[in-house]
Amino acid sequence: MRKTLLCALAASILTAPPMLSADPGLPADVLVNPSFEVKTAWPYPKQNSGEIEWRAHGRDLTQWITLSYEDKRGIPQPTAVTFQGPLNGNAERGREIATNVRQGNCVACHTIPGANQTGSAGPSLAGYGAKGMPESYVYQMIHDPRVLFPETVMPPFGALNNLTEQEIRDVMAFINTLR
Amino acid sequence: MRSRITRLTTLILGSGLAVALCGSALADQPYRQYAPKPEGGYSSNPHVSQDHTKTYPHWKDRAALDPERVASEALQWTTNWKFMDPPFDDSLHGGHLALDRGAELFAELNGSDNRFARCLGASDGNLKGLRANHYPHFNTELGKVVNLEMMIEHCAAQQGATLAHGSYDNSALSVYVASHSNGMPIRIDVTQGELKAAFERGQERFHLRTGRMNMACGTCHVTLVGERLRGQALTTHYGDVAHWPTYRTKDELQSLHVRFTECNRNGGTQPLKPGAQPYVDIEVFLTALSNDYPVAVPSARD
Ligand code: HEC
Ligand code: HEC
Repeated sequence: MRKTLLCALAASILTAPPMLSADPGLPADVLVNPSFEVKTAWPYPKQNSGEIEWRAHGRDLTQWITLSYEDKRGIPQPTAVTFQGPLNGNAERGREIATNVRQGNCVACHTIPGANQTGSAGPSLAGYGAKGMPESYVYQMIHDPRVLFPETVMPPFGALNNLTEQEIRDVMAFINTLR
Repeated sequence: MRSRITRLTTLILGSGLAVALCGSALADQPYRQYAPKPEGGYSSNPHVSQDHTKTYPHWKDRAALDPERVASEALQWTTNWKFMDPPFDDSLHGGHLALDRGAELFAELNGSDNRFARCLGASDGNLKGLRANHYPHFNTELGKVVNLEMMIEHCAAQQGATLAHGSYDNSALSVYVASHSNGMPIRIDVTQGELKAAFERGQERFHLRTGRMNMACGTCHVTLVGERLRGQALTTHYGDVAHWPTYRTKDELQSLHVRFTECNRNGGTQPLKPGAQPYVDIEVFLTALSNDYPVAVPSARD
């Protein structure tokens, strides 16, 4: 038993996967695998092994600032935006964006009828369409809520390049259907 | 959900002011945001009882967890989720298998001359108290603050073995070493020297907003504590490090830094490598916030 363990340990040096190296533009201590299509990686501990299996995350996160001390990037300041009608949003696509973890993930914080595993960090969006909130307000909230709530936990989806202009309009069309 | 939304109209009127205030950040510094610290901030000499959620009385004594509170959907988070540890799970879970694996690996690497134990800092070969009082610390030979898993990787490498920080075998050894501190209160001194500096850096990193969601560790564990995110209730970060590495019931033996990579990804932030300086600093910060909370391994949680 002892022998086999040590052999396994020694052999593991030979089969060790190539060191993950960061993109030239990225801090050296971020967990990325340049050979992945989605570069953002995470470490999966394989049972009874001294090595890590690097797995790809569901979305590439390298464009946003990290906790690395070498990371000198900042974030956009709170930005006021003006809504230009008409809305032209696709509510079906909007539902997909609002409930998908890798996209809007609005359900992480908001109750959305029909979605499960929702969150309580933000107000429920059930019946939101019937409230008659001005489009300009909803647009500002999704683009950059920090303008209205400086300390908010809600992400600035437009300002941080999380959702495109069209995706924001799709989500707006979707929450408008919640009546 | 707090009642902030009721201030909506005032805020719409006041939004011009908010933009003006935010715009006054120093021009040559990149613009960044921080999640607010708990009310009253942090002590420079932290203790687990200073928990900002005031839930400490409910989880102070693991053996006396209130079963009703544990079973309550609304109040479970106030037990700091330690309900998966004994007495709520004393079955033979993956943490026990890891402990056995760790014992085997240790015997292998330690030989008859205690070389592995000595490398980890136990001069007489006795592992007692190593996890509770010796880690993380500033290692003069390596010239940096190290945690237990980094030293396990380092000491194994000296013998030509690969035990990558975050790997199963590294964590298994860590559980084994920690088991010699079971029941001992964690105590590290962050009031002076390199650990004080690391503690302060860790505190800053814990509250820095990052990633696509503009979230800090503190956004979830301070601002939103007790709320649910995608069905999961958020707990305090006091008393967090005592039971690591832990067996996650989704079938993964997880080290603390791998948990950080998971939390980073959940918050939409590009994770760092296990052992990266910011993670070590955050570990120092969280360890100080566990001061006087007893080590408990092997543990399991969802
Ligand atoms: C991290 C949590 C979080 C996420 C994710 C989130 N929100 Fe919010 N949202 C909030 C909070 C909290 C508020 C209330 C404002 C405040 O107090 O900060 C809010 C407010 C709102 C409001 C205004 C509600 C009202 O009553 O006027 C809308 C609309 C909204 N969110 C839509 C969305 C949409 C659409 C998404 C996804 C694209 C989303 N939110 C994602 C937390 C979140
Ligand atoms: C998007 C929200 C979110 C963010 C941001 C976040 N966490 Fe977490 N964290 C969670 C959730 C949810 C859990 C599981 C429930 C719990 O234990 O609070 C958790 C659990 C943990 C645990 C394990 C607790 C235990 O005892 O088992 C640690 C440690 C932790 N987080 C540290 C961090 C650190 C450090 C950061 C910043 C790098 C961070 N978290 C950022 C949501 C978050």
